[in-house]
Amino acid sequence: MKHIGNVVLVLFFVGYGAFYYLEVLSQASRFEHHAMITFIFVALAILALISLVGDVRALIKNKEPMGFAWVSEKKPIVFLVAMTLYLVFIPVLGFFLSSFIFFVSIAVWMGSRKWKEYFLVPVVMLGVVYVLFIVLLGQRITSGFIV
Amino acid sequence: MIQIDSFLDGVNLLFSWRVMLFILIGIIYGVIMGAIPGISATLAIGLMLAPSAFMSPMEAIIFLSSVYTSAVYGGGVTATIFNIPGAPGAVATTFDGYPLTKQGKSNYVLGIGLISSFLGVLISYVVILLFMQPLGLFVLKFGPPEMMMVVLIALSIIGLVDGKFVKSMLAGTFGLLIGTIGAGPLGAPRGTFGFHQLYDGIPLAPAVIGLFAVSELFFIIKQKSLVTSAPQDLPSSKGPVLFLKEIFSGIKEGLVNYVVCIKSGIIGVLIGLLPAAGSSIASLISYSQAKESAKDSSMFGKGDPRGVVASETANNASEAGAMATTLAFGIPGGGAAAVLLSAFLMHGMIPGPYLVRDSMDVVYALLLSNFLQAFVLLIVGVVFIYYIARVVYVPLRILIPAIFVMTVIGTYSIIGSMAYPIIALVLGLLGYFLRKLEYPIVSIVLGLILGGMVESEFFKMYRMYSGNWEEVFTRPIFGVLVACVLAIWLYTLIKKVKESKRHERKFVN
Repeated sequence: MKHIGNVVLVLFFVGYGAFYYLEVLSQASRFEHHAMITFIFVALAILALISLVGDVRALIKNKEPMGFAWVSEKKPIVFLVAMTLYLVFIPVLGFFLSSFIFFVSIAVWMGSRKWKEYFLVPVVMLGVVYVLFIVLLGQRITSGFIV
Repeated sequence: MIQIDSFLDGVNLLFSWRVMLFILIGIIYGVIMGAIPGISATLAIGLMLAPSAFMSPMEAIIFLSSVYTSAVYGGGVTATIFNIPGAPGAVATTFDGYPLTKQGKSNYVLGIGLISSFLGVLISYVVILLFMQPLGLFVLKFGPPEMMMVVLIALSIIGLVDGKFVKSMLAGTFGLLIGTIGAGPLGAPRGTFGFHQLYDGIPLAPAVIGLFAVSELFFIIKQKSLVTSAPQDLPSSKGPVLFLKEIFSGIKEGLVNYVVCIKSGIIGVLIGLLPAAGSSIASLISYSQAKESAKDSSMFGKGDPRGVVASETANNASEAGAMATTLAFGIPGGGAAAVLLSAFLMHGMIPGPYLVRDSMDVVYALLLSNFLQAFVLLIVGVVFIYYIARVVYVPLRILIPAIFVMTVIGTYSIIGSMAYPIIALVLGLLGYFLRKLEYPIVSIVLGLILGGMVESEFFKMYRMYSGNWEEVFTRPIFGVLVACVLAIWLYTLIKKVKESKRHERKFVN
């Protein structure tokens, strides 16, 4: 799985690099405007080729299984979804409400059963954040529709 | 080297109870702010600019300088405990600081960080005090070709990073590429996907927080606690005396490695002298140097105290270099120094050659105040560690959501935009995949830091010497730096070839 993952990552590097390089070339009118990007992209392509050759050879030699261990990645995937939803809802619900919901959800999902842990801790923490960032530092935090 | 009369006048200026009080307040405020991810030394100083208007010029500058000193140290604290560098200069501290924390030695490693910061400030300001004028004249000779070589030296560290050479270089090169995102030499945005927040490039603070801290959250979500040793087995669980004993054993460890300290302090101050080079380059070069010169470097990256000593000493020492450039030339040595420069101007002082010529007593007072700051930091730091180090025993079900919420508010507050927390999350995800596939994160961070710099220095060099390249080689400092770069590359190549041959021999046996 590691070699396949490596191939995918390297292709991502090169794909993104090519897209970016073409954008730079389209804007550049002289050599010095794109010279350094050209050097970097060429180096990236060469290194990617070396890496891909090594991985393909290893894949053929070791006959690596194509399966993906979803079970071991279940928690990170769920956490990623939770973090994404949290960031999506901050502009809607406001920072403090979204943070409170996020905190309680994650704490309960990870096994917290004491109300002091999943209720009191986020309330105190968000109170400190409010005093520090809004009162003392004068920051304007996104408020959303509700709080 | 030292003008005695001005020196004694400077000492007189320093010793007033108000100055001492402002040093104490500045140190306490700076440590707390620096330890909060997303709040850099620059922001911490900037927030105090307006209140400092009510102080006398000397008090204001010394107060803000105290904030600078302690905020740099504070950034190393979260790097050690949570793998969240409080500032880019603390990135190298995570390499060995965080593994030591996971072994249950958080008090010990924080003690090392504290004494290293203390010694970094002391060593660097001794160097500056003795050599400010000749060092300054030397720095003025650095033009775009020399800066380009300094950046290449820093880039060469990528090859020395642990792990497979190709993966390290691939990550570093990709980091370089994305480090050039933003406005190009012609001012047109590149690679921004229409997001104006990326016009100045990928912002370093959310990128570093994402690649290190957020990616780490994806790993530790599978664990129950941060520290692998059971808390009841650790000496610190048996009372405050033993707790303090651990901190002091860390302080002793830092003192034992005084050679690493001195070398790192000198590297830090020299790199800090170069405008825009920054503490991140200083700490990474120092770390790399400490690793390469160690007889046994097998524990570097796994919890070697010398790694923490090297990075924290250089990180704090670079502040002195930045201060010297600011005082002697009016050229800020970094972001925080730029804010300090504005404080000088606000109080009617103009840093530069005239300040050095006409008010050397003020300059000496400022430099000497840093020695006092170092001692106050030592005391405040021990108290700070005593409380903050307990955080590692908090269950992860509380710690993980708390860290992410603090990450969001910390990155959001930099420019007041949700773009930064999103960047931190995206790069956190990338960081997770990179680490799963055994790519060193530090390579991509180095590339990111240096990408923009290497392009702009190359562009300036090209405009200066295009059609006349042989003139570049008549610059003696440039010639020496080219030789250094080639030597580092050759050394790296030979080392990697030897390592892979050794690995093959082991495999065959």
